[in-house]
Amino acid sequence: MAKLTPRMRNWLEGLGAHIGTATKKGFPTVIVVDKAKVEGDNIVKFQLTDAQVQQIKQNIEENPRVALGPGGLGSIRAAYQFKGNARLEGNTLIVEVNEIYCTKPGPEAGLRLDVLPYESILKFESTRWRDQGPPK
Amino acid sequence: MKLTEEMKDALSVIGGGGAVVHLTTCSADGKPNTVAERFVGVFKDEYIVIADMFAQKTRANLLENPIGVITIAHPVKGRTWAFRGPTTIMQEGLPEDYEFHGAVAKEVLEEWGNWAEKEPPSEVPPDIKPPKLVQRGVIIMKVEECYSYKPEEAGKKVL
Amino acid sequence: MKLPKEIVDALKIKDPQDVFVYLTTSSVDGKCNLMPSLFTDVYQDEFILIPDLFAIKTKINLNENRIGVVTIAYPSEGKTWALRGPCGHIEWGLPDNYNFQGVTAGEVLRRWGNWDEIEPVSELPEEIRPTVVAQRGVIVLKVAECYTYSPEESGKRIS
Repeated sequence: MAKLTPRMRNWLEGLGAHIGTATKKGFPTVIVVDKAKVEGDNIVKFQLTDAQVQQIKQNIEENPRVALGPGGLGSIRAAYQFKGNARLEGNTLIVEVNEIYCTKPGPEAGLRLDVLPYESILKFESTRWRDQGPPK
Repeated sequence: MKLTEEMKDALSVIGGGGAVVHLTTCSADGKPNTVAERFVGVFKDEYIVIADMFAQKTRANLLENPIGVITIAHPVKGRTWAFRGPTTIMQEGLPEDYEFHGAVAKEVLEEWGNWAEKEPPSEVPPDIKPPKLVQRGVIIMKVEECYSYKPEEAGKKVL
Repeated sequence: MKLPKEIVDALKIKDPQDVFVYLTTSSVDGKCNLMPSLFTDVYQDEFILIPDLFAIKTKINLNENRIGVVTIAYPSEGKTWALRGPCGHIEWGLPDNYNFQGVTAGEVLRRWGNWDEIEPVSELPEEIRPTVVAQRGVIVLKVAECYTYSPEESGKRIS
């Protein structure tokens, strides 16, 4: 099971994400939410507006798979992609992350991180990034 | 596991024209992918290297599930071998000391990072010559086992 | 559709760190993928161009489902546009007259096929700078619709 690191959590909570959704036949719709709450090892919650719910509700109902890319400055410095299954509870989008990828441009772009031991993910991060989250 | 001389010959086809192996990988949830590879070689007697030029699903698979199988596709000449072992892709830009099952990325890339030098595109038959050689890196397998894929003895250990 | 000048200006290259986008694609069975890109340009006011440098699943998706969405990831303030439309990749080696949604491989590759010449990666900050650039081609998205992702009006069509 995927487990988010503190760095991942800090970036997601600080700057939110671009959230990719699609119909079950693959027609994509993206929404952007500027903050998130991470709970437990791999649950990411987003508070949506009515307009956002309206936009993706049908997609989530027929196809719960979503992809998250950190937003704002995080899209450069938090080079991760999270994939998982989502559901809507009222206006809360709850994503259970089950895949984590490195998207840093270069030889490790696309490397799947969640299949590594957690300690290895922490080590990977600490040798490639100096920050622990967005600037305060 | 050291490859035999015969195996090394079969896998070192630089400039020889026409040899092909199949590389099979699979996603972390077990969806296999098999592709034909034309640029293949041997590194330090126990690794098989392949130029990464067009890998797509292979790359996606190896990035989440670093194991592969290489089977001799052409010319077979009775060499019905399947090599299996940990497999990854090495690219320029990895840390200096990056190592995969004993193979140091820097050494592998120095030897195999520029395939066009070893095998100029002019030596590749025109119908299978890539239009533009853009090598992304090197796919490398540490051979851990070799079994036969000959129908009558499929799965029998060769080495 | 022709993009308004404001959007064209935002997506055009001025400096490597000027704009950073996500390209979202999906497999044919609905599994989304977001690819960050350090570079973008706009052609004829309606085609968004992105170099294929490290695309993996994006290309796998585009091989089976040719549609994409571009959103500006950074700096995003005030640029809440989601641009959706047919999306394909024009790879080196395609014939010059290969046509994707009205642009030809020849015209795209001649101008954007070696992105490093127009926008050197050496100007990027160290932590996100790729050490080696091996460009396979150019990803092209023809904008068919534009909606806003601003929270209050998310999904509302623009122009």
